[in-house]
Amino acid sequence: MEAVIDDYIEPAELTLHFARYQEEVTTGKVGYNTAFDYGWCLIRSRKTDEVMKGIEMFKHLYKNGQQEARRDCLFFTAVGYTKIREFELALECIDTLLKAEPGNTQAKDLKHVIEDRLKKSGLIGMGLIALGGATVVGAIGLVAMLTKKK
Amino acid sequence: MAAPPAGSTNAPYNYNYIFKYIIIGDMGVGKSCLLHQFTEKKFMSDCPHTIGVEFGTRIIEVSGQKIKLQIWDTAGQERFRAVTRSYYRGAAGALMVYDITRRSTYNHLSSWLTDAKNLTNPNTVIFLIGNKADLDSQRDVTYEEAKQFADDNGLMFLETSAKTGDKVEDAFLETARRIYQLIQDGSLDLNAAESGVQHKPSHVTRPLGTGEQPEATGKSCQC
Ligand SMILES: Nc1nc2c(ncn2[C@@H]2O[C@H](COP(=O)(O)OP(=O)(O)OP(=O)(O)O)[C@@H](O)[C@H]2O)c(=O)[nH]1
Ligand SMILES: [Mg+2]
Repeated sequence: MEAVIDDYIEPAELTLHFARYQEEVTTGKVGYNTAFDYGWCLIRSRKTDEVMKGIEMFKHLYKNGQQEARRDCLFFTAVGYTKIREFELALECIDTLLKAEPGNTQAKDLKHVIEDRLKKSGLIGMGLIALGGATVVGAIGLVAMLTKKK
Repeated sequence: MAAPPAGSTNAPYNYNYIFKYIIIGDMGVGKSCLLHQFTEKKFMSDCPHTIGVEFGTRIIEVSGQKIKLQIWDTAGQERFRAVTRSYYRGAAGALMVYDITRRSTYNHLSSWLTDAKNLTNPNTVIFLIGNKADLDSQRDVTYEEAKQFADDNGLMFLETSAKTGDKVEDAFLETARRIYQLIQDGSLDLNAAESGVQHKPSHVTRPLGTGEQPEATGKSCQC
């Protein structure tokens, strides 16, 4: 599980998916898969602001996307929060997933990692959400396009 | 002579090579169960669909060399297909799995094979696995037919059961033996970033903080 969290995407790959997403944004109709792919790439970025954008993307897809993919959204959101060290928020997401799928070992493993890192860090979050408010609002602006019915 | 810096370690790597593997194929064919069986020797009877990717490692021995397998198990559900492709790069081995009781999973192999060929390097060892061999009464694809497909495409092939464990070790180990043979032949360039193989000379010692450190073994699959 640590390997999955600490595996970073090639910037070129992210750029490619950003371009696809951006193209659909300009046409005013963003496909679910395009957003999902771009979101996952963002979560795998090294850059905090990109991870935060990914989190916003999956929160949005959770509310507005395919029912059967909600588990994926929760999982990726939890991975994103773990990466930016918002452990409490990460736990919230993973607990929601575990409530629906108590036996999911992928989710259980991620929960262990979060609890472990929370214990080691000694702090609760880095306040990134508060400090990075502007970035998050920016990201919400982007995903707002997605509300258009598919 | 200066004393070694505090905290330096003289422990050698407990393996000589790292091979990267990927496991691909349709959803539900048993990829995660194969990984879990290989790393934990256990079978998960109801395993939820993988979200994104899972990861497992195990150290094996081939010709007296310790090899650490780093295995990426990809999600087979269609919505993950675009991004899981980015995990193919630099794989030394690709295990391509279908379910012998579901013909559709066999029919999709050509598409998985196209991805595997396009996204890995020419020396990547592709191993075809027909899983769920324990369910012989529900068989939908004959051994002979799949063997022919494997031969036509230059793939190695075995039927396995992640449930009973039958031939699971063989599939992972034979892939490693083939990769090791390619290294010995000189057809696999260890210096190429895309080869999926890293050499870790076991007698070299490095101080902490320079390059990768030896890792604890054993952490593995989350089926
Ligand atoms: N009888 C039998 N059942 C198996 C075998 N391997 C896997 N299964 C079952 O098949 C189902 C799917 O297995 P998974 O390992 O989750 O399949 P997967 O390929 O990882 O699926 P995705 O993660 O969605 O891509 C599970 O319910 C397993 O218990 C096998 O060798 N024999
Ligand atoms: Mg799986």
